[in-house]
Amino acid sequence: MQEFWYQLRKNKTALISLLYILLLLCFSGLSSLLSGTDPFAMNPEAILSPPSLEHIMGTDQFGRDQFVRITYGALISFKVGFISVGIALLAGTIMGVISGFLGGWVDLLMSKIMEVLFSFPDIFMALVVMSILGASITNLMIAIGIVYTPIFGRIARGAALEIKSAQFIEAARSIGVRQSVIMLRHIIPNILAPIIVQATLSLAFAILSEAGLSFLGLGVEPDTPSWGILLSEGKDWMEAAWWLAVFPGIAITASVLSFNLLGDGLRDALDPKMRNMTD
Amino acid sequence: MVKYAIKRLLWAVPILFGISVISFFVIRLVPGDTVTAILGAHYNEEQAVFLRTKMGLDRSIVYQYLIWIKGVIQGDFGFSAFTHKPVLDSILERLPITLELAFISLVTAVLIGIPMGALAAVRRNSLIDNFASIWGMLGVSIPNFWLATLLILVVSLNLGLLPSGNFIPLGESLEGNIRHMILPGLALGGAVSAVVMRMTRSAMIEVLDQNYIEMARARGIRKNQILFRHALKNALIPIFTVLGIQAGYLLGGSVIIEQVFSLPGIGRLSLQAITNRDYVLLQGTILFVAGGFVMINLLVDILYAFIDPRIKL
Amino acid sequence: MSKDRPILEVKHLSVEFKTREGILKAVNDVSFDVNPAEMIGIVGESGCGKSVTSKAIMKLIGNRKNEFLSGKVIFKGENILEKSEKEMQKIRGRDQALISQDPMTSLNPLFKVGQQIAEVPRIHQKVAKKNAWEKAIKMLETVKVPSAGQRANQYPHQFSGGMLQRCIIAMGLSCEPELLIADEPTTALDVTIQAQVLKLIMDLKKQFGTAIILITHDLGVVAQTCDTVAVLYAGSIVEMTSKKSLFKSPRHPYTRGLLESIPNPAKKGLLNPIGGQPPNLVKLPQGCPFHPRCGLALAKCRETKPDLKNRSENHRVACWLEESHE
Repeated sequence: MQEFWYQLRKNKTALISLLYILLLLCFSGLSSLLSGTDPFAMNPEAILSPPSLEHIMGTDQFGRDQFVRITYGALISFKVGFISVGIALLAGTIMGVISGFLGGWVDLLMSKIMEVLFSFPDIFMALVVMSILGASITNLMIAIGIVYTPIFGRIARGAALEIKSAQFIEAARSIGVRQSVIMLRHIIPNILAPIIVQATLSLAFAILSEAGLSFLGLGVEPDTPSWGILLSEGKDWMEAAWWLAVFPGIAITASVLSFNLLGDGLRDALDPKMRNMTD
Repeated sequence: MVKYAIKRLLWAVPILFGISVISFFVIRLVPGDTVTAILGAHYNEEQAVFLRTKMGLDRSIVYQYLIWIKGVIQGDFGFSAFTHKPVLDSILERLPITLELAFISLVTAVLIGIPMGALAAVRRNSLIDNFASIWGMLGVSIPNFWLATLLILVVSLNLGLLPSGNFIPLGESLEGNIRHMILPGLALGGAVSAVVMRMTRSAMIEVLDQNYIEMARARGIRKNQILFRHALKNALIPIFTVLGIQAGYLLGGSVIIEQVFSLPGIGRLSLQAITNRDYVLLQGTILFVAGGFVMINLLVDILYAFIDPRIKL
Repeated sequence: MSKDRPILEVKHLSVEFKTREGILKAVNDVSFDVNPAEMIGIVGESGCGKSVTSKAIMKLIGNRKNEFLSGKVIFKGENILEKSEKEMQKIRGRDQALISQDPMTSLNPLFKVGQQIAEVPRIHQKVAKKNAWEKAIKMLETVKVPSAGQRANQYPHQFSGGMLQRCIIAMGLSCEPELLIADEPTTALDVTIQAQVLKLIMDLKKQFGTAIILITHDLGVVAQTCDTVAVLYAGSIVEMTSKKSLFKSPRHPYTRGLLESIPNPAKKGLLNPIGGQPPNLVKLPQGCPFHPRCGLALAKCRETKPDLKNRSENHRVACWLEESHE
């Protein structure tokens, strides 16, 4: 653990990324509590005004302050991201561990199902699920959660298989510890590292997926100021107001980049094998 | 070689079966059926029952699947009540555009990714390596629809260099068509170039560390020959794997990019099918896209056998 | 070039690597000559700088920022260390050849063996593609690879280790180089195959008149083949003489230790291995690098490093014990 913190502290980009994510989260959370920062407040006197001191990221076609809307959008993106990855992580890990640990026909069936799910392109699958469930933030989280379940399933299964044959599990089994206890006590802590790394990287993908689906009108409800919606509205106005098409994109890219860099940093810090390779 | 190919093909059969099952049944979970959607405001019970019988919707779902899959195998993906066309016709009509988009994106990705990755691997910690690692991260973090928006804003609207709408089919004008495809190709290929670059870099670093590379140097083989003949060929194996996986990204991403640039491809067809609740068409496109993805990866597996003589299953 | 001049003169060669722990002294002031058609053995434990020496002779190291070469390597009258990579590309493979320790990883797995052999004459002698292929087959026949024509069309993974090592020897000799460096050529092979490959190298040496540097940790191999032997310890030559006098009257305690650790069925009792570990090359001990493991170490050995000096005719030893005899 100490080694882990040491390695992570050495990786400055990962640390800065973590800082950015935390600051963005705190700032958005706090500002939503303050008055005068209503993302829906229209201002007919400041329609489509370019970035200025008063509106640092300009205003939209209803005179709504884009900076306020983007910080509000951060909360939506992060909420969708965390909950959908949480769904995928729980479902995938449980399925993967059971599948890898039990083996036999259960494993075969589950692996085949995962393989089939893998053969649907990410966005495409989310799109289909959204078309069934209908556009809403809850449905979006479920859809993205389903899409990323197989990845966690694969990691957890691989790790479970590896650990299953390890000496200490054999030992636990030989002294008569119950199977479910073995699974919880030994396997879960051991697969934590790759799962954490994958969860961080998946957060990046989840934010991208949320924005992409909302951009297409198949994500959150159309009047929610999520980043994807902001960008898709901004695109319609970009000839008159470039800032509406630029700032939401920067917000998405910065967050996705941060999660990607943090994920890479975590991988280097948690996995000594990978660390030596990249040196 | 042929035996290997057949073996891979047989292995793909259960996956394709799974895909067809999911494509068929998942769509049936949609609230409200096609008949309600077709009739819309003119809904009356009598007509609905008639249509349902005609379309086989009153039979058991397994029966409906069997009828559908039998048709699919014979090349009949069903008839869309919205487009008034066989599904396969609609798909085949739109397919060339999506394939062209995917092809241009792939070429962009390979032309940027492989040389940049190889150069970064050879000159580690140099300026180009730093630039490459920045692109490797940034490229996968920029949403393709934003990259598309920016390209339209800068290249199309401000500079007026390339068009961004009013697609021209390949049959009408080759030049016009390609001019319309460059920006979508760049927008979609950007992220793939980053992924290909990262894979090329790490594969090349690993290969360049191998004993046979040092032995090739000891034989006096020129540096460029070693890099581009001996090393790159070995590095191509993982690069192809990544390209196969990225094909899925290209197919999925085409939904968004086709929408942004108003390209009438498979992606837009699926979106249209979703808005219209056109089951039959949506089923067809899902099956086509997922099946296509599986077949591409099958092709990649067979390609391995061409590159690597050790693969003989 | 005059016949009596050595083909290779290594003069005060040192190789250092900059590592995170500090400066690693892989080779320390090593000097020796190789005459035409001579076979010299360089013997030592793993990590003593044998392979680094051989790579320095071909200037395969020294191109990276953390690798430093000093001294001179005079090959055919010219200092190799001053040559550019481009000039070296012409020399390597044509005048110098290398056979490495692990035949299984020495060839590119994606190219036919014949192709890889043919590449050498194609580059260095500008032989046409077809003729180069024929030459490759001829070379395979020379190294006694059965049904050479067919095997040239096969890939490395279809060969056994011994056969591959033959192919690599064929490749090394295809331009008839004046110097062949064989870095542990038989270590990865079965014992019976080892003997065959060694015999092949000896036969080819006679046939082509090539000078050979044989790098090995195995004194048994040296006993069967070499004319002259240099014993390397922690990057320095500690003893160098003809094979005969080395085996008959070894003078450095390390050499004696090595000889005593060879299994000998004629002698009864257990082997007598050298105690301790080779030193860390980043933190070499002061004085003679061998003194921590040497049973006969004097006070002087801990302070100053002994020079390699001629003690009797053609017998050079670096040991303070030699001085005290005098």
